[in-house]
Amino acid sequence: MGLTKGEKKALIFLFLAILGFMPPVTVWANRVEPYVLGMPFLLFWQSFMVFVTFILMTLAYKTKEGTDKK
Amino acid sequence: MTITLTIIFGWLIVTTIVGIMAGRNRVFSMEEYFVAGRSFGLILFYTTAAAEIYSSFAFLGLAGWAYSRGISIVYALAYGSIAYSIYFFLGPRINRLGKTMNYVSQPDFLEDRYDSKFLGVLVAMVGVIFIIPYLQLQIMGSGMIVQLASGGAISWQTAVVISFVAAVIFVYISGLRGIGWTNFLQAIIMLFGMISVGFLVSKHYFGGVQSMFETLHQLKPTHLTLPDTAGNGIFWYTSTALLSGLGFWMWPHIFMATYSAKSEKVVRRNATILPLYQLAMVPVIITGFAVAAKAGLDPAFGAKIAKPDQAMFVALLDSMPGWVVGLLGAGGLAASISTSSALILTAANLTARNILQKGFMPHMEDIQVAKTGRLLVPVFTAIAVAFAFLAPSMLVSLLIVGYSGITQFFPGIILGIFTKKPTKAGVISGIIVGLAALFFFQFGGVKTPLNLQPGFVGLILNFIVVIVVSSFTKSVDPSRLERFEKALSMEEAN
Repeated sequence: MGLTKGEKKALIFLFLAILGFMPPVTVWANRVEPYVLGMPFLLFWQSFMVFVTFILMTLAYKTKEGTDKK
Repeated sequence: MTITLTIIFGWLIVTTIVGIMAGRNRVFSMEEYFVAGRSFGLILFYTTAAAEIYSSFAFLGLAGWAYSRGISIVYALAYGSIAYSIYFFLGPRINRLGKTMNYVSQPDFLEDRYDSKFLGVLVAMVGVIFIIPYLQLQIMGSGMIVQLASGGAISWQTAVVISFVAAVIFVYISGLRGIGWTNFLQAIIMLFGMISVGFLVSKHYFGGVQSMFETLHQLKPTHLTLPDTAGNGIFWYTSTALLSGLGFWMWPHIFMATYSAKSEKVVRRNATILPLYQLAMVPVIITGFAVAAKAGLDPAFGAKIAKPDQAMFVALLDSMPGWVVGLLGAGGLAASISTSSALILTAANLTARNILQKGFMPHMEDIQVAKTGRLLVPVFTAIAVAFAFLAPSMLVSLLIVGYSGITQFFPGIILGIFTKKPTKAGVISGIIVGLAALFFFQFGGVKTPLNLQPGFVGLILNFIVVIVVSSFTKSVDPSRLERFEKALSMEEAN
């Protein structure tokens, strides 16, 4: 019932994705300046992390499939 | 008829025709009707999930929140990532169990896993109770979008009747397959609308996004950092993001959609690309801020916004040509109808399958369940429309706790899939304690510690109760556990 070997390896990526949205990271990102892409920093950071989540999840997927296929 | 309305209703007609066509030449059965014969590939499954997830809130609520309360809306960006990370592990297992055990609904799993008819009926009833106000909200949202986009030429009640006659027709005829194909169209126009709007409005009023934010920061210094204008700080943000992220897949309609994917791989791949769709929320949020800045500069403009949810469409009408408003109106209507149609089908499914067949009429055959469910489609739609018309605020308190309410299924589901420990008594008492705590803190006049979400407190108590009660009550029959263990450790079929 537990996780497969590949899923256990993939956990780290998903952990990083969630961490980027949680304190203390949020406390650090909670500021207006610098503006990035026209957005105040907190809004930029959260949007950026959504994209990073996509990258991390793709890595998680590749890791999972690669490990469990063998 | 204006160009705006021509686009919106043209879109509605196209959607309905596609929805009807989707169900042609299919043999009518329970699995076909409720979970599209478990046949959706990646594209159809992705757009179905995206369109069901992003409701009229993605158009009205996001912008309205940014406009009236401020930056705490970023919790919506955070919870998606949490939800999709969890789905990476949870989704493929739900899909597999559905296939091996022939589940077509969320309570099907809980009832079977814990060998409890009572639990199945309880979860089905709680699900229906929280679906109705959510559906009512979507109905009112769709009416508001058309009314605003038409500049008041069409009343919201007329818009609701037209839209929901269309939805009932394709859901009645084609079931989840109809929803899947219409959602494919809905997702495309939603995406288009959400992305284009953000830059258009800021550019029109302020020449660019950054100058808009700089103006806003001067006018409303509390709007862009936590705690924001509404007073929502880091604790509020963190607990809300976690609660929503964990509860996300507990919505009965989203859980049920997972059964419709043709393989586990499709589900897992879908989890990895769902964050991309979430990026479309950013421009809508920016628009909400742009409206706040504009309203701060120009009180006469601000006075036109009677409710925060109207913020985006008031700005669009003020600044954009009719065809742009029409496309965005169609996008907003699409977001609302795609979520509503799934809610309608799910309420019908829960009632026919889990309350009637499993709860009280064990001799009912599956085909009768499908037929009864189909008859319930117009019934549930009519109930929700009646609430919207006759008593629009009656269910508001249920809506406030809807998300937190269904999140109370989380411990029973997650522990039931990944561990052997929880017992029937543990899970049932956990849900009851979680719901009781939620209602107590929400409506009892007692504040939660640290301004945490009441549902979050309920969830923690729920987990504790499941673990404690399970330690001394009768465990699930070993042969049943073995059946689940075997199904969950099977080689993945490709």
